[in-house]
Amino acid sequence: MLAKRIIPCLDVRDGVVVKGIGFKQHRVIGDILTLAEYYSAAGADELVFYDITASAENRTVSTQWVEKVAAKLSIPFCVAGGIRDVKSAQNILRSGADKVSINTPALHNPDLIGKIADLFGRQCVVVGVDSMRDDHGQYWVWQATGSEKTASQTRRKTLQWISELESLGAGEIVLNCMNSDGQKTGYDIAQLTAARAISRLPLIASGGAGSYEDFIQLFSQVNVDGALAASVFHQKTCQIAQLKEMLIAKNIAIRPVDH
Amino acid sequence: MIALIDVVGSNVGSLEHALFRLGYHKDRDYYFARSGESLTGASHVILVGVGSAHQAMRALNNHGLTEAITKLTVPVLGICVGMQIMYEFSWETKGLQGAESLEHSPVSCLAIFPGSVKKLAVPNHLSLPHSGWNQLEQNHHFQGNIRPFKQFDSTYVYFVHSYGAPVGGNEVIFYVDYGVKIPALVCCRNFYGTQFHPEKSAQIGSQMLQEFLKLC
Repeated sequence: MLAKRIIPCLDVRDGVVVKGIGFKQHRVIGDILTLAEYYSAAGADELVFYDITASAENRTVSTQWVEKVAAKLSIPFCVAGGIRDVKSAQNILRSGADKVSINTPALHNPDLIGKIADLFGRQCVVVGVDSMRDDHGQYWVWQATGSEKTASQTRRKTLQWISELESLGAGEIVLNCMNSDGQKTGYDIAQLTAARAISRLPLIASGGAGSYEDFIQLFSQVNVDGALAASVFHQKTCQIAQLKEMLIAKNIAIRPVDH
Repeated sequence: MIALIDVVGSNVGSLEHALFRLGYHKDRDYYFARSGESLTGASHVILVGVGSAHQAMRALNNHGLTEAITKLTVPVLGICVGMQIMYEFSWETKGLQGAESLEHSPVSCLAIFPGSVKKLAVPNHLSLPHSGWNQLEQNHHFQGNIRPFKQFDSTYVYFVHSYGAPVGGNEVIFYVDYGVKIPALVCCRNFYGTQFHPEKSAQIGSQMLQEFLKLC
């Protein structure tokens, strides 16, 4: 069976890996290549590099580090951040990334998803969705969440947007649940379940992982294709090898760590 | 020297990186073959396919490679679409998405393996493309020499594709299960094909490439 993917996310800013809390304060965690190789060896199934300043500050991710990562890594990786047109997607993919993830630009220009898919295949096109629950329990898409200054709620309802993505040409969805992001209180099972019910696209859960148990709960309760997490790995609260052993023990389809 | 056939698309970067990690260098250990004649003397040939079978075959035909490939007697490895075009026909006639309704007849391919490559008929709850890590399962009906690849039974390798080779053929060494069986590693005589991407399949993939390059 197709394995559930464990995906460390490396938030990149100014050429280093950082981690923010609720997308706000950022602190430096380490060097991109060093961490990429570390996670690949540790058993990650895929990596996501998210240039969190790119979208907000109108900056396109540099492709140099993408080339270096591509030369080193023998697992797939995705680059997100600042990909606002076909040209920038092409630069990233030609530099060796397997996928690009688009978020805010897809909201303003949904046709961009299909344009990239037509050229490179829909498997290359991930749409990132940042979603926040309001006081009435309604989920809304947020945009430009790379910085507190620019982050704002859009008029799009999360589930409506997700239901449109397959026909727009997307190949995968990363649903980041902002209420739980950085809280380490577990994935937003309710929201992910609702999203799963309305789209057949591969769905990656993001936001909220704080313990081994959170991953077990996620995969036991929702048919997501993967779990993305950052600080729980960066702070070594969870080791990927041990996490995978625990998931395998629960009969969840997981690629064991190579030895 | 290893000959890489890259006439289809241009995205052989990840294979080149994988070869480099194994210690193979461009010009010293491998080169790009862009004509039938340039295959002469190659010790191994790797056929990398990006895009559709239609695009791949058109490119091979334009470069005079089609017949030259079928006559090869050295080990040949087709990866992904490179494997699919080793079958007789492929229904992947157009580009990437939304093209199905435009299909009229399949593309004639290299016909090293029998049968047609078709769109995967996966159950409704599973998405296409089949994308991610899946587990190899040995086909016990395979009659050939499995020895170099036996060690990879039950390992996970990386897939990204929407079309698949026919099920039930004698050439299948490993299947994977994605609601339907999908041929993952195939072999007939000196021809090998992987539906998955060994160059993106971590240590296991590197070992497989190394096993292929040890064949003679």
